[in-house]
Amino acid sequence: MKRIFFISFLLLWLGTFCFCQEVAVETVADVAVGMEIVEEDLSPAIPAPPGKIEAFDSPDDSGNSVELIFEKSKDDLKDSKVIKAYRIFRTDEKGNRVTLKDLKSWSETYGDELLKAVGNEKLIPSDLKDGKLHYSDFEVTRGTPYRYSVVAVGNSSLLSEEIAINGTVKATSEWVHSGRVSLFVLLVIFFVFIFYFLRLVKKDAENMFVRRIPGIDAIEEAIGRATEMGRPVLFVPGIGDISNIQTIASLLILGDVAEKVAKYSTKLLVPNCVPFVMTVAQEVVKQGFSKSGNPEAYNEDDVQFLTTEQFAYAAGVNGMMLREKPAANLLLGSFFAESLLLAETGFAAGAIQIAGTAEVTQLPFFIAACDYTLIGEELFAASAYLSKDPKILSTLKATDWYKIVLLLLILLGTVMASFQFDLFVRLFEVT
Amino acid sequence: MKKNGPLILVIVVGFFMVLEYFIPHHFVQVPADTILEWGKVIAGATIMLGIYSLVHVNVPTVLKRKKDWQYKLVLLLGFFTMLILSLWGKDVGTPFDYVFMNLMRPMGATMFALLAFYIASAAFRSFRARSFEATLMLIAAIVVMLGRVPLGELIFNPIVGAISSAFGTDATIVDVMEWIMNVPNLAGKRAVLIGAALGVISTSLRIILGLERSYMGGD
Repeated sequence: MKRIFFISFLLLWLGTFCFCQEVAVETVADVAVGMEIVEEDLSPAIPAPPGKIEAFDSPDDSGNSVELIFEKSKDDLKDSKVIKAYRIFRTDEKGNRVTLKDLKSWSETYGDELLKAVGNEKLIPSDLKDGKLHYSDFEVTRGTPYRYSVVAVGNSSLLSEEIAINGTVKATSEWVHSGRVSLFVLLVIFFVFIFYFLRLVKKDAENMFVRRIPGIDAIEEAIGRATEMGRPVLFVPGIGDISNIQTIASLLILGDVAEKVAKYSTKLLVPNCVPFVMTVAQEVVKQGFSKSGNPEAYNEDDVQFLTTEQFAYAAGVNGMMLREKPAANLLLGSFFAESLLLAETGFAAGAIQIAGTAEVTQLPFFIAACDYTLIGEELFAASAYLSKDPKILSTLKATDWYKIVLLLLILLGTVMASFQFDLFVRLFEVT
Repeated sequence: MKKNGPLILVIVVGFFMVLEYFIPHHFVQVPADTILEWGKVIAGATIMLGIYSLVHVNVPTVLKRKKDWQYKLVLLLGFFTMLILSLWGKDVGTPFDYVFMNLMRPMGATMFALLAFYIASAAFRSFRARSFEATLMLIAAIVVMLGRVPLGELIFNPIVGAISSAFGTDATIVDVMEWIMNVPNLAGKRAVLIGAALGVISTSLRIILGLERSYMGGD
């Protein structure tokens, strides 16, 4: 009995052992198969090379760059990590070869662009959609022929076959910017208008009518008020640099204001945010005082520099408004967030306020807080209007007529675009 | 020559810089870039004139104890303190950086924050229904302001919904607000921009052609 029990137990144990062994072998085999698949994935494979490659001189430049466009590798698929990057090489005529850049793979670039476009595939550049990658080489020497080549860099840093351009390419300068021809034509037409009205004004200067601009007329009124009250006039030229055309327009008005102020022997305060503007403003005011025949009334310290910090400048000018109590505040030029801080303080101080700017975002603040506002083009027209010189006024006339031409072009463009005739609209595209 | 010299310089450089925009060739671009560099150098150098003006205006006032001399003293102290602190560098952790971050920036932020109160007071004055145009602006402003907050939607959506459903649409206060911003408001903005752009060209040409000489004090 014991033997039978022992043999049965032995057979059972052997059976169990054999079964377990078989399962284990199968499992190991399965895992091995699986591992084989994984190994196949991870095994260092040479990636497929990039597709067609072309290089050309960048259009409309001074010969300082070359553009390179190439098709992605067949292995560079969306969400795949097979290609790590594309390595770009440049070889000059002497055979000197340099590695320019490891450009991100197409799949990664596409992902980045998609992220930038907030998931909107329509906003992705069409070239990228078509599987093309782009590189601009700005390190070229004008006129030197170069040969470009690209290799795909695999995940395991293995390089694909090298693909090169046919022949060489060199960067050259262009004499005409093809993307700005339409703008040039429009500018020439504007010139023609200016010269036509200049000729016209020579023949008939008397009939040069320009509509009244209440804001500009009010400048003289404001200076008169300040004179009567025995208080100064405050002229703020904004916080723009001298290269800002609004600042220049403001300084042109300042010349006329200085002349009038000097005539009435009123004090003129000009706080500045930019030292360069201060230097020009000092000269303009000095000339204005000289022109009015009262040069000794000019005080250099009245045209002063405060600070280049935007809000510190606003605080400084506000302080002047509250302490010096100017009767007239002229806020003309380029203004940003400080516009309302200045205008509201001036209102609280009880001054007559004339503002003018071409900054569309600040105009509502000036309109709300000032007595008169010169809107956009009126700021630029002001100096011509104040000068009353027929020759300068003729440019305003030319601008008005040119505006009619532009209006007609806009209407025509709207109609053309509505009928999907894009050629007309593309004609005016500027790059 | 005293007057014609600068005028000739303005005309030549002005036209050259206009052409630079249309001619990308290096014969034009290289000198144009050089001129722009010169402009930057000159602009940088004028900071000395600014400092001179600051000292020249304020120091005598403080020394002679003229009206409001205390404010000028604070200004001069601030200026010289920052000037001296900058000798130890301006990197993070330097005394200059500490003063800038803990005094200058909060004061600038305070000035900016005042804007909220100024907007409220300016809006209060502007939105008085004194004329037809002012009333129109008032209504537009109310719609835009309320269209941007959930409370506005809660109050006005039933009314706007009822009106729009009478016309067979399902507009909300947000749609009305967006229409005001994107159609009449944008049209007005663009009109101002086009006018200003032409004004810019016109002013530039007046200066370049030598018609406008008031900046040189001449007729």
